[in-house]
Amino acid sequence: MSNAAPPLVAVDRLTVAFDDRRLPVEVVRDVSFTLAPGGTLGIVGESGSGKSMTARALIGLLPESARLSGSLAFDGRDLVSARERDWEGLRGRQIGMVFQEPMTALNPAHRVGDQIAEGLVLHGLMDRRSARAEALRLIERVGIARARERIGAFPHELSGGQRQRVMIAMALACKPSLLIADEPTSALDVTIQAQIVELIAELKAEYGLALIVISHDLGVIADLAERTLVLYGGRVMEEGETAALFRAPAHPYTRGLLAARPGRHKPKGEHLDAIPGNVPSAADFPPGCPFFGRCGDGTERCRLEVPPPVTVGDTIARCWFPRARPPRGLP
Amino acid sequence: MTTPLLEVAGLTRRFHLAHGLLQPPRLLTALDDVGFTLAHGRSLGVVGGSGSGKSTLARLVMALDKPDAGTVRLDGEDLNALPPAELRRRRRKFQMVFQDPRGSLDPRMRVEAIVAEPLDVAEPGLGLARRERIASALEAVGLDRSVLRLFPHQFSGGQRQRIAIARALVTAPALVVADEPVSALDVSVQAQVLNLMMDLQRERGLAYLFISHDLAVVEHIADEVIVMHRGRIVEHGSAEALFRAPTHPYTLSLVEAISPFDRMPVDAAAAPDRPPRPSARETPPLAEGCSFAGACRFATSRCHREAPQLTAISDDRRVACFTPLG
Repeated sequence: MSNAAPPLVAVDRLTVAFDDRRLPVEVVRDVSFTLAPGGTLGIVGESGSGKSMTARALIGLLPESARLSGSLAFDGRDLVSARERDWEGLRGRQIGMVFQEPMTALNPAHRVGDQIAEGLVLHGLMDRRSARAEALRLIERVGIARARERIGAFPHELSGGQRQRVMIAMALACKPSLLIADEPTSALDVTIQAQIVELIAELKAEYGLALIVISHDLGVIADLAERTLVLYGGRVMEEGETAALFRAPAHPYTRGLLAARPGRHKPKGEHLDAIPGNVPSAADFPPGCPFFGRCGDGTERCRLEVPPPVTVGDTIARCWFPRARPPRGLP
Repeated sequence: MTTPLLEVAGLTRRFHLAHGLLQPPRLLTALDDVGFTLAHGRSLGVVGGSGSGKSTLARLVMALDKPDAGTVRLDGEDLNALPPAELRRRRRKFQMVFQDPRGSLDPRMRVEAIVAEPLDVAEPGLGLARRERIASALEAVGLDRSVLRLFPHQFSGGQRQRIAIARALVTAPALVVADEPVSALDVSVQAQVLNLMMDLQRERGLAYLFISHDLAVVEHIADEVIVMHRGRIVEHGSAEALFRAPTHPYTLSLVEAISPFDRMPVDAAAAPDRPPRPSARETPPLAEGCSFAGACRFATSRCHREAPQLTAISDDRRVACFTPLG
């Protein structure tokens, strides 16, 4: 990064592997990035891209069977060797989390106000009484109407949008320095999605949070992230300032992803620029570039050798034949 | 005028909500007086949030559920007035594609049996022609007959949706009801399936009732669009004009909610002096009046008391608002 401040998050050559029928399958491969305090990073990818496993690695919620290599540091502390006790001190305290489906993250048997207050008490930040007052303030802050009534509600009594607001209040209760939002709006209606995106942006500024937002939705990434990492097949395909990445993507995968969306650049009813083929399963990626086979420009070298990162224009692409140019079809 | 392929009139569906022993029963009106027509070979997009009645509408059009009031006519015939055996035969003409091919394809059945299902209902006793029909439906979606013996789990999400489309095509229908057909698919695969659906429409003269929360997709696919809010149509017009110059405040809020990344520029002249968009706060619905009044920045006291009727404001636009925008 540009300034000398040490990064809040430093991920270096992170690899996450599972043993599938005794063969190791790598679902995250050689992923590296840093995030400065107060910065934002978007991670965009399709299913099987490794984006959610990367997020889980950052909060110590990988499945037992996962094997981790590379390095992972938060605020200068190594997390690869962190034990569950260390994680408990971090999760919810210094790292807040918001997931796609709040219903699975909220306890259905407890009132939402108590769930928000619980973190504050658990981490020894407040007594029960002040924690309850803080929970009310947070419920108001995240924009839930009639907060005084809703503080005593159970999760099933709230709408999907309200539950996501409660999740955000819980994530921010202990004033963390990092918020990880994994598909925070994907289960919500379009108008609610826009409200939640706006809320996250507001709170990020207000709390001086660093934010990692993970989504398959290019729109959410474009709205929230200053920098973006494009993942495919567990590997970083391209990274850079979000605006530059979307304006002049250098990697054929990023270009393809942008061009595949219907929008103003395609006359109505005309064929969309689809990426051919399907996302292979984790065990079936070629040894070289994971996008080989779906890319129009692939060569034998692409199939066999992993391309190194190269700077092209304003982005860094991992491609043997990068070209900075607008996505197909765009003016 | 010729008979439209699909004619929906006054369609209303109410559900009894679960209630306690001593509480009076409550009714939820999932669909309230919905009406529109769809001509052969055309696409009608249906947009709206969850609880807007989109999926209830799909089920009623497919005659999978009976309305409390109103009619669904296909080629002039009232589907709900047909005897069950007749209805089964008519199903040849209208088929459905669901959102999640993983959930809508039986994992224990082979592709051949899956695709054959609607054919066996509508045209039993085809004999040798049956397998040909199945193979040609699969071919139309880009799959060859080698897949006949395979199971759904042996395919990717996009391929499974192709199988679901083949199942809908096998009876050579005139109408396909597609409920969020690409929402569960990866972005890179969505475009393939949308291209396929557009090709099939051109080749076979299919009409689509295309339900989606994704406005960019609907604008690309649909000729006309109805916007639904809490069970009612609030706006109906040509896809292009409706998204460029929305006249219902709810349509406007949908258009404004599109990320700048996907945004279709709203015609500035069509919407002068708009109050600012409500902030990131939620807005509770009202008990009476316009269902959108609680969240509407243009609402007047009348909107909180009375529900506006869907009214034609031009040849190709209907809107349910006392003071339409534009």
